[in-house]
Amino acid sequence: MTDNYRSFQLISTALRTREVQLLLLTLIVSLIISILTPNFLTDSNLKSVAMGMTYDLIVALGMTYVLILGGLDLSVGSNIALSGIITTLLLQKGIVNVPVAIGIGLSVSFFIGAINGAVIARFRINPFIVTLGMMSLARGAAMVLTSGYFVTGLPESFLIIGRGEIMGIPFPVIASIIIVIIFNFLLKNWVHLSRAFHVGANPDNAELLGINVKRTVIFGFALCGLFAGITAMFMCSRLAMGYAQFGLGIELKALGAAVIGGATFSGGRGSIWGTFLGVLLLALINNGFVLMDASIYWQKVVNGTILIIAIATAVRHSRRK
Amino acid sequence: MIRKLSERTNLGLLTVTVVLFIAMSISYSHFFTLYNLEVIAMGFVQEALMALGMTIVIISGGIDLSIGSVLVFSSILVGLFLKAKLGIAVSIFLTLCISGLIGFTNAVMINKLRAHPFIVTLGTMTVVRGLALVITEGHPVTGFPKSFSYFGQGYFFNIPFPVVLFIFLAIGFHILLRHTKYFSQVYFIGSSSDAARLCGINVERFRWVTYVISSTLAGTAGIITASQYISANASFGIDSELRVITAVIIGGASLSGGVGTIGRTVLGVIFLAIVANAMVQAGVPTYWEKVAYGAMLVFSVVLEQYFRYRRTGVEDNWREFMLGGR
Repeated sequence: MTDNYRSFQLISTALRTREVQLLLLTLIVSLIISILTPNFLTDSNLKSVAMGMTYDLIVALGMTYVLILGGLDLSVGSNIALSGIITTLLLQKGIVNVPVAIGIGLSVSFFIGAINGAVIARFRINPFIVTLGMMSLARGAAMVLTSGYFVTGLPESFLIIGRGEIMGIPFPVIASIIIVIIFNFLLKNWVHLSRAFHVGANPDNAELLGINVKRTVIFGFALCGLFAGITAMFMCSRLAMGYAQFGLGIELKALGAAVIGGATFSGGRGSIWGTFLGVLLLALINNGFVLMDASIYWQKVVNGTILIIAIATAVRHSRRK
Repeated sequence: MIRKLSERTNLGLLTVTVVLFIAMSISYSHFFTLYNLEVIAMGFVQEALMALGMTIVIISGGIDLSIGSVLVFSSILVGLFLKAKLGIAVSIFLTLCISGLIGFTNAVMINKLRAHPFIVTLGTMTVVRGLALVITEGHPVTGFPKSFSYFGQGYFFNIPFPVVLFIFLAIGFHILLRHTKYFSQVYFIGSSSDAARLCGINVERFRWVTYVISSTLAGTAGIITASQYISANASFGIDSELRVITAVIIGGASLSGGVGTIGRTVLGVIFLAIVANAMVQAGVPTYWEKVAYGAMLVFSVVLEQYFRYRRTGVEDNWREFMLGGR
């Protein structure tokens, strides 16, 4: 009797956590898609779903962190384009070798994020407007650098990063899973990252407690930029080129996924595994649309609607609390 | 006198605009010609129209990112209605109603979800542009009747019709904000919506009004664009929300609400229009435009914040500009 009761209680608590709900939802969605379409559970389709969600996933991790801080970054897509183009241009011209080029690309993305954070924290400006400006600025810079052309002719040793496989699983997929696990661990256990929760929940209070809010914010945005840079490296390497239109609209998908996963715009909340499931869910839905031969133009409508639904549920969730 | 002038308008920006205008007139002989002045005005008239609505929204403490998408959506809608032979007046009326409805939806969602207007309008921005793509499947809409072209290309006493419409609306909104009781509440609501609510102002209903105005003006801009090009294309209005917000902020409105006037916005719009034309005249590659707008947006916000700090000596609390801690 008590055993029954206890297990019932366990199940009902589990059902109330966001991650479990999402996991069930993901399973249901994949079940529906696999019933409706014959090609869902094939090796090549699952691989393409996994590859497609890798980019969104890495960006969404940074976005989750910034959301926990109580900010938001709209410039991640442009950051991908710019850092990718700088790396590929350096490689195309043969100025530096592969590791140095990647290092420079990653530093550029880190630096762009740091500028965002510095302007926000130093001049006390809403992160929305700063990152909206940076979104236009970085995308424009990427276009100026290439005049809109592709950057091709990259060395083979660079292409291996995005195209190599271990036991049939592409490198980027493995790398993104490793990044998720490490980042999740650090976010919980490393004080320099976990103080973001305090800052997001109540920044003025956090400052009184002796947390350097300014530095935390700058570092958080820089980290978000760095994640965009990592995505850029995989994207350029996988597609064997740099292009000024890379990452267009990825900020919306990342935002949607993070909010579905339990992050809120009012800061202080967010979970890495929730974001992971959010990205997975979005990828499955988009894949379902592709398999069912729906017009690709529906994708924009679906992504926007999901973002709005995610906000709506997040608000209801926080009100119940 | 200078103090009196600076209360009325943004003196710094006025000086910069005049200097830029004179410098351009001296260095490029065809800059200060009637033809080029018309090019300057027509090149920015859509943004100018939308900036009027955005000014009211920003003063009330909100923001509307969906205007670029409403512009493209309405230009496509009016094309489809005209193709269905509904008549020009009915088509325009229906298009404006639907644009207004999008603004209404924005306001209702902001009210009901209590979400930040940025996020809600970011969502509608994507959905509406997606719908525009779904309806047209990426093809341009063509086949407008000849008489429809008046709205974008016609002249009213030798002045282009859209410019006349803008001047007319700008004066109208200026009078509304300055001299009517209902609309001058916007400053109160923008500085503190909680205090306004306690004073018995229906903030939620006011939000409907502001967002419907902003969206309807975007719809008007869409109709003008369609008439200008005699076609409608899903790639219209990309980034126009960025240019509009930049114009309003450069003019001197504050994103934290409660500050801004129509006059200042008009000045901001004129400045950006001249800058855009100057870049073309000077032969700057078009790609630089995106960089310039992004930089100007951030720079103008930084300046505004800096001067406010200089004036008051008080730094904002974190809670006031970060989204956290609400």
